[in-house]
Parts: sequence; structure tokens; C-alpha cells
Amino acid sequence: MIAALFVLETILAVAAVFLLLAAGLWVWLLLAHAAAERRERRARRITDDWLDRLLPVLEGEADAATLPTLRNKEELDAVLALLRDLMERFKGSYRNHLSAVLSSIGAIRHGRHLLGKRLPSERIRGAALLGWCGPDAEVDNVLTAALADRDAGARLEIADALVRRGAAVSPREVLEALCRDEAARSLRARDLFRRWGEESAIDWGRLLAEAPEENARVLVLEALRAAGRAEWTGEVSAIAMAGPHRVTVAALRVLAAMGDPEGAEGARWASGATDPEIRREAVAALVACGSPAVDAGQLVARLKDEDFDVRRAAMDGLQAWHQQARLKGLAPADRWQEELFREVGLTAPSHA
Amino acid sequence: MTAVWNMSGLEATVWAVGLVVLTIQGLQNAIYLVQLVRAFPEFLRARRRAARLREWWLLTSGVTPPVTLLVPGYNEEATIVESVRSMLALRYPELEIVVVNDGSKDATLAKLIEAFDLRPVERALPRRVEYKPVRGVYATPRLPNLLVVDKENGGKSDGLNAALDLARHPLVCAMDADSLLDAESLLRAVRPFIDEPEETAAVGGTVRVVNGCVVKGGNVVETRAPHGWVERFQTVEYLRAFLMARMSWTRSQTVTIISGAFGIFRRERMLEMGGYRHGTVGEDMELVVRLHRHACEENRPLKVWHVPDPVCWTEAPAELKILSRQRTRWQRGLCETLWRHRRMIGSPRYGQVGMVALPQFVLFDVISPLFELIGLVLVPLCYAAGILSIEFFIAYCALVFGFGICLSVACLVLAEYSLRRYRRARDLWILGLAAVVENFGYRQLNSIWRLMGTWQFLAKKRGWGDMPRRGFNSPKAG
Repeated sequence: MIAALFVLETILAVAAVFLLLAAGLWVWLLLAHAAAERRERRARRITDDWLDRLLPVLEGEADAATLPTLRNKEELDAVLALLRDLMERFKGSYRNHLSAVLSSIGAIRHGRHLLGKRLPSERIRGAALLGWCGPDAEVDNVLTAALADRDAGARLEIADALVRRGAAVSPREVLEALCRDEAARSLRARDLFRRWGEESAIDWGRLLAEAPEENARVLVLEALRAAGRAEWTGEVSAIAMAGPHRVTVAALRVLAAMGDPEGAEGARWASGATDPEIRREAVAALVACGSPAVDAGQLVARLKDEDFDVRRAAMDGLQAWHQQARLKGLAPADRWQEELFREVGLTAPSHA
Repeated sequence: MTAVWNMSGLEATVWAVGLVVLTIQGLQNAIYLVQLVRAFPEFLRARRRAARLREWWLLTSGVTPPVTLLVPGYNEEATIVESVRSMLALRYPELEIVVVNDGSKDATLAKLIEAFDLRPVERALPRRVEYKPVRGVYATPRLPNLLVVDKENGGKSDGLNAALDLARHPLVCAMDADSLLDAESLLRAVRPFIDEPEETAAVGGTVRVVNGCVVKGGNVVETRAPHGWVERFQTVEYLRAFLMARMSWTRSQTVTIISGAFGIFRRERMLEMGGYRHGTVGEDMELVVRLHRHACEENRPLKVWHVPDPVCWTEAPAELKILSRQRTRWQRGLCETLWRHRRMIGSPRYGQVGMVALPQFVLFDVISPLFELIGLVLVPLCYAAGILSIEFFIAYCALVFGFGICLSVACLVLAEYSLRRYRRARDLWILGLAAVVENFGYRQLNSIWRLMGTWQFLAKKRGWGDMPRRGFNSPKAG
């Protein structure tokens, strides 16, 4: 019973400690809230002051060099938030002058400072900020060296910053950094390669041939899709016929974006795949690369596919090719066909 | 203190029951504290994310996955138009909205047709999942991303299945027709699908109480504490549920509930599993548990996340009678899901979900309310009768009330520190008080409702019951 009493007293003591903790936390929250309010008031004042300075520069009426350097972290945070809001509100129309503004107000120094921090989230913020700052070879070198970061998220943001800045970094180096772990699987990695493909004249076709593993190939294919150069169609088409699932899907998307007739062969082959996602992408690629005269029959056949989305893609393709006439007078083979026929107006509407 | 060997049979029984009650309560509080500690780093992460630099990318990116909102509604004439307007104003690059009028008896459909100038259109209904017959599909060229489906009444799962079948985008977001999403909610919630696209199958956001807030044009423009105490208690309760337990589950990848008011899912995976299941009032939890079960049995990777910063606002019942109906229904849904997937409970095949998450539900949400109520009656009575000692009585009160207050206040403090929603200090004072007072009456009422829900499940009660809405701008709600 002494043990029981001890347990009861312990419970009581622990509960008392927790109650005191709750009271302490509560007081702390009220103080933090009051401090945050004060900070916000100051930030609003800074924002008002800086809005008058920034607008002429962002609109190209004044030189970015006329802007003063930010004095402290509070001012920096307020001005960065203001810039973000302006970019968002005016749909990026101020983007041309953004990098010059950021460089002038000392954002580079802050970005580099954040990049050296212990927490990955801080390094991510630093890289994101540097990504928007103006050209500076030293910053490019710092970011390139930072590609060795331990954290996948930070590495991704650093790679993104390098591409956004148009830095002279080798795609192989970036691929190696991203493919070290799950960073390469992120949709952000694909996005940065897509932008890279749009903007640079890199020989993505050669990189594709040399890319050793699945993730790297998917990323290079994303760049190829954006670059849209027909000289690589043959290679991409071959991959669409023989790659593993993810790579095949990516290759078919490239073919669909390129719309090169040479890619039709790969799309035709893939439209008979067992995986419905591959068939779906293959039908879209076939619509882009194939010709109504040769491939309309293939699309009509796909209207009996066991996957509804494949059928819908085939119907969309027939409509895009203005080939609905091929279906006129055809009795729907099943309920799904009946529904699709009604949707495109081949049979009487249900609400007539 | 009376020695055990000198006790009568009654005294020994009372002591034994008292100790079981105390042990369960202690264990429950210990687990809650562990959850709070585990959730703490997630709170800090959410606060740091508020820097928001990353969303610059999301808005402009070509790979932000397109999303279809699935919005089933039944008798929602008071809120439906404002809800849809708020959805149309969401900041997201590619968004489709499928609203389902689930055989409403009021003017839900008429209000939608009138407000958005809708016309009947033909849309293929592949029926890959089960739902009641569709009476018509409506759209307007003015808003090509809005589709309204009018169908026979079949319940929430049925409405969600109809919307899922019509959805075209790879991700679907299930939400209630009487809820409002913050403008950036979707952008914030899709992050896990972007970071880990192959493993992530579902993401849940935080649901908060809209009562008392200032709502303009379908947007919550100022967060305020509700006017009534019942709503205030629910505000604190929602914070505790969404920002403690679920964030802790995220860390161990054992999220088994994504609120029906706001959850994003991979469409293909849902279609593979046959969509939402009929005949349950807990379709949201059932779906997520089934996702886990399916993944474990098929040996497929699966990640289910709770993300704290995207917020969905919901109208909380202001009357105890309606609240009681809602809570007993939630408990029935929980029991139905646990019973349906009983094979998973305690089975190592289902990993942490089977070994930790589901047994916790059984112990703390089904069994514990019974002991809590026994304790509430037994301990004071037996103390008054001199059977239990003062030490036991005080320890019991410390466990029930002391830890409860600490948990509620700590959750409120952490949530407010990391996400900072309330601008007025007055609201913080009110909610702080509510976090203390809810432990004396409201939580016990909840235990009664849980028991009632469990009883209704055992008695095989079905159906949802009416949930009257006042609308976001009604003077009482606002």
C-alpha cells in the first residue's frame, strides 16, 4: 500500500508540474502575441516606407542602385515579404527588375548567410532567395559547392536556384546531386529540368543516352520535353518501347509534346501495353505524332479499352482529328461507349 | 489506509475498479503527452514554413498536380453558393470543381443553377465506383472548371463516389459543401504529393471552427473566437485533435483519419479500391484505414500525411442536441471502421497501424470512455463513503482535470505560436479560458456521447440525422 500511495503522490506531483507548465506556457503565449503584434506594426511601417522606394525601380523608372541596403533582419524580412506580395499581385510583371532589386538591397549577403546555417529549412530559404538574385559568379560557385548538402530538400532548392540564375553548372553534376536519394523523385526536380530544357542549348539527347539510372533518365526526358527538338525523337521513341514504367511514361509525354511523326512508331507500340497509364499516355502521344489516315483505326480500337480513361483519351483524339464521322451509325459496344458517344453528341442526349 | 487483506469484498472491488480507471486514464494521458512532444518539432517546422518562399514556385510551376474538388452536399441551400464561390477563388493553377447535389429536399440545386447560370450538359458516367442514378449534370461555359451533378439521395459516400467517377484530374480533394477553404490551402496541402509523388496517397489538412470568424465573399478574413461556449469548446477540441494527435501520427506514418471536410487523395488509388464504402457513417476514416490495409496486403509503398497549415473552416454545431447527434455519429463511424477492419488490430502484418494506431483507438476511444464515466461516478461516491482514500481522490482529479487542462492549454499555445491565427488578445483569453473550462463538463459529455455512439453501433443504428446550418454570414454564426 505504501507503493500505491507513492504512485498516487507521484501522479499528483506530476499533474501539479504540468499545471504550472500550462500556466507558464499561457503567459508566454500572451507575451509572444504582444511582441508579434509590435513586430507586425513595425513591419507595416517598413513596408509603407519601402513601397514608395521599390515601385519606381520595379517599374523601370529608377535605377536599383538608388535603393539603400537593408539595415537589419527585421527590415529584410519585411521587404522580402513585400516583394513576394508584389510579384504575386502583379503576376510576375515586375520579375525583370526583381533580381537587380534583390542584389541592391543586400539580399545576396543574407542568402549566403542562410546557406551556411545548421537547419536545412534555413539553407532552403537561403537557396530560394539566391535563386532570385542577380548574376554573380561568386554566388554561382557557392551554390555549386553547396550541391553536396546532406539534406535532399536543400539540395533540390540549391539546384533550382542554380537553374533559375542561369548559372554555368553541368547538368551531370546536378543529376548526380539529385539522384543521390529521393530528391530526384520529387516533382520539383522535374520542374527545374523542364525550365532548364526551355532555356538552355544543352545536348539533352546525349545526356539521355549516358544517363545511368531511371531517375536521371526521367529528369533528362523532362528537359527534352521542354526543349522539344525533333533530332532526339528516335531515341525517345525507342525508350518508349523498352523503358521501365516511369521512364516509358516520361518518354511518351515527350513524344506527345514534340508531335514529331517519327515518334508515332513508339506510341503505336506502347498503346498495346498492359499498363493502363502507359496506354493512356501512348494514345495522347499517338494523337500528337500520328496521322488520322493511318492511326484513326487504332484510336477507334482503343474505344473498347478496359480502362475508361484510355477510351476517353482515344475519343478526345478522334475529336481533335475531326474523325467522329467514323463512329456515325456505329452501335455502342457497351455502356462506357454509349456514355462517351452521348457525351460527344453521337447519340441522343439523356436530358432531351 | 485500510490494508488489502482487511478489505471487504466490496471495498476490494471498488479499489480494483478504481485502479483500473486510474491506470487507463494515466496511460491515456501519458500517450497524449508523448503525442504532444512528438508533434512539437512539426509545430516548429510549420512556423518556419510560414516564410512562404517556396509557394512562389508552386504558383508558377507547370508540374503542380491538377486537382479536382469533390463536393457532396445534402440540403445545403444556406451555404452552398458561398462555399462554391470560395472554391472558385482558391489560388491553384489547375482546379476542377465537381459539386454533387445528393437528392436534396431543399433548393440546393436551384440556388446553384441560379447563382452560376448553369445549363444541362452530357458527361459520360463510367460508373467505376458505386453510386445512385444521376438525374442530370450541369455546367456553364462561363466557368469551365465547375460541374454540378444532380443525383438521387444515397448518402455522403455515394455523393463522393459520383464526383470521384466524374473527376478528371490525378488528385482529388474531398470536402464538405458547408466548409470553406483558405485561399492557399490546396497549394500548401499538395506539398507531400510534390515531394514524394509515388508514395503519397493521401494528405489531410487542418479543420477549424468558423463560428465567430469574419467571413467575406466566401473567405475567412479574420479569425475570432466563437460567441457561444459550446462552440468555443469545440474550437479548442479541434485544435487538440488536428494539431496534436494527427501531427504525431504523421511522424510515425500512422495517420488513419483524414477528415471528410478536407482531404486530398490520389484518384487512381481510390478507383482501384472501389472508392468510398457505402453503409458507414465514418467513410473518411474507413477509406484511410482501407488504404493502409490495401497497401500492406499488396506490399505497396504508402504515405499518408497530415499537413497543419492548410486550413478548412467548418461550421460547428452551436446546440448541444445537434452536437450530440454529430458526436454519436462520429463514434458509430469509428466503431464501424474498427469492426470492419478488426483483422488489422494487433496484427504485425499491418505495421504500426495494426500494432499501435488501431489498438489505441480501441483502448482510448471505445473502452476508455466507459471507465472514465465509471470513475467520475464511482470515485467521488466511494470517497464520500470512506471506501477510497483522499489521496486516491486527489490523484484521480489530478489525472482527469490537471492533465486535461495542461494538454488543452499546451495545444492552444503551440498551435497559436506556430500558425498565429488570432489577432486579438481578447480571443486568446477567451479560448484560454475555454481550454480550462472544457475539462469540467464538456469532456465528460463527450465521453457520454462516445458511449451512446458505441451503443448505437451495437444496436446497429444507421443514418446520419439532420445537421441544420445557419450559413457563414448569419449574425449568430458570425
